[in-house]
Amino acid sequence: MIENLDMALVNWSRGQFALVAFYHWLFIPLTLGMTYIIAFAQTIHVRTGNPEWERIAKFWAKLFGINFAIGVGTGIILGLEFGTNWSNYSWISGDIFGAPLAAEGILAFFLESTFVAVMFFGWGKVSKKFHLVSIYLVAFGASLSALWILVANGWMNYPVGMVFNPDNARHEMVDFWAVLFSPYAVNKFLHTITSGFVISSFFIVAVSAWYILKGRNLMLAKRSMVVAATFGLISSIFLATTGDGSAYWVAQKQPAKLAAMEGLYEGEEGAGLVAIGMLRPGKEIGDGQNAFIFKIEIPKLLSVLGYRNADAFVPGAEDLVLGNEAQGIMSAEEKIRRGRLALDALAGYKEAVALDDEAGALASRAVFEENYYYMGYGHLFDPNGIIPNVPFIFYSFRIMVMLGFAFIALFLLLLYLTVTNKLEENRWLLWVGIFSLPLAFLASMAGWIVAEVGRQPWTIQGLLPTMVSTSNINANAVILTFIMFAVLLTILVLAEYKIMLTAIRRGPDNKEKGGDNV
Amino acid sequence: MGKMLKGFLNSFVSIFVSGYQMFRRSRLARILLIIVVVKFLVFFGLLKGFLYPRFLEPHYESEQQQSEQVIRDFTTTHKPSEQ
Amino acid sequence: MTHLSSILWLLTWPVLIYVGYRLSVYMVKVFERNNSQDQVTD
Repeated sequence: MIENLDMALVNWSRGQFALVAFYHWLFIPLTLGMTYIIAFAQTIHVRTGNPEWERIAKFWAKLFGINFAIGVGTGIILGLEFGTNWSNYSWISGDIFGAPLAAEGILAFFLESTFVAVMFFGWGKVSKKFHLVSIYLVAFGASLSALWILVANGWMNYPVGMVFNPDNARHEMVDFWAVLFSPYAVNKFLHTITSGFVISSFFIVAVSAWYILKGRNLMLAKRSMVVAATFGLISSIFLATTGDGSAYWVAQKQPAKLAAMEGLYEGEEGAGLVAIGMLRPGKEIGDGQNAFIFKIEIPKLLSVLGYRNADAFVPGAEDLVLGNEAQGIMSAEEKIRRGRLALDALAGYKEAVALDDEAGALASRAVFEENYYYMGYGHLFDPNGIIPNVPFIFYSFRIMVMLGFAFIALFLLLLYLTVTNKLEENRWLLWVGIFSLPLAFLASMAGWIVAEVGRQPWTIQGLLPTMVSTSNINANAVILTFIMFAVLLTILVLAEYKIMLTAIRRGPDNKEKGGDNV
Repeated sequence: MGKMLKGFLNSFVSIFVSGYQMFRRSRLARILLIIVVVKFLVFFGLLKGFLYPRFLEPHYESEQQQSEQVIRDFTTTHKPSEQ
Repeated sequence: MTHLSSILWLLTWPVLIYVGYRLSVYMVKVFERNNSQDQVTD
């Protein structure tokens, strides 16, 4: 069957998923975060009765509405891809992946769409309190949909709560709560939604900064800036905290990803964290070369972050590939051998069942279960293949972390200068505020690269490599749909860009002109 | 209880009326509505309803057949002898 | 309760929102105080 392992199909399928996920993620962060900021503004209005705050809430709700209308449904394409390009993966994941996704669908469609309608069309039509509750329900509903998706994603990175049924080659859920409350998944959820909060805050900061630079809608812009900078500040601090949580769980469950994030080839006790560094191009596992041309390291920090112990051993790529007996790390070659035992035993089991050979089936099943944990390694040919692309992950990780910390400082500065009414004197900072929006998207895309490219070669960590996750379909079909999606989604993004810019240029409605609030 | 239900229905109707008026009044709302409708027609009608099930999804007679195919993929990819 | 730490960690999300709101209200108050001489509306 190896002749069917078509790398063009695998690569195009990966490319297509990356493309659609990238576009999807251009819309999602604003949906995740803006609703909370709109809800804050409207709460202030309901509590104080100040109509200015309702005007602020309405204006951002209009921009939110544009993003929501254009972005809604882009996730459907990802769902379609699971059924086609990744049908082996979908089959093997079974109800573990399907159940959270179905829950997401129900939540997104019923909870969100119902209350989104109240939020958009309910201004002045329903009681203020009910309207406000609806805005909060949209906000929490959006985060809840994200929870289910990220639980599914968390499971792929750290599979728990299931057993593999060799009769039908599916993972069956045995512990729903273990899947839902997987610490990896919960942390991933918090890290991802807060990144959406930060991006949304920057969206509001950027638009407000532009108004202030233009001298338009000054009070609306400044008040919005106060709320967005406050929410952005605490979100970005929380983002760093959950980022620490992510690093901890990656160290526990995906040491190869951590080694790539840090460009760590030779493991060490009391490992330092590379603050800034340049990797040596062409460095290979076991070639004895220094991995870095230069680096500035914070001593022991990697051991502390990864293992909560300053002297803990952090395995490098070489330890993971070649094995390290002293640290109890099995070599990739041995894992591959065991994985093949598992796969052969699975084949033996199926044969024995077909022949009604009960004893043979039992024996094969025992061998399979003993080696099940290494099942995915059985598909690999090259032990080095367990390490993802080091430079790509290393630099993406640094871009994300550096920008993340810069954002905390920027929010702090913006907040201080806005509340002390000195913002207009610092025009350079307003420009920084505008450019921070694309930078925030860059940081979060870099984060997704670390998470998803960093988990290669796996779709399900240790159990299923990406190359076996694809379907038996023609690569040309995937190329065709790739082009189709690229065109379709580019049109949507261009529409968003144009409509959003027009709405921002028009600004909030003047009271005498009458409503144009979506 | 009856009063509450009436209030709820009134809100429901007024949201519909308000939505309708907004689409009549606001060009932006109409453009967004057209985008949503066209997009959902393409996503659900064209892609999910036609293109994918007819031409793109891999076809299996039954779940049994799919599971056999997956196990075949699973247990033979690692055998260099079949390369 | 094997998942207690995860549940507590998950609950930080609504706490974050609540703290975000309270802090926003406080910051708005400070802002309005510093802006009392200026315009109140656009």
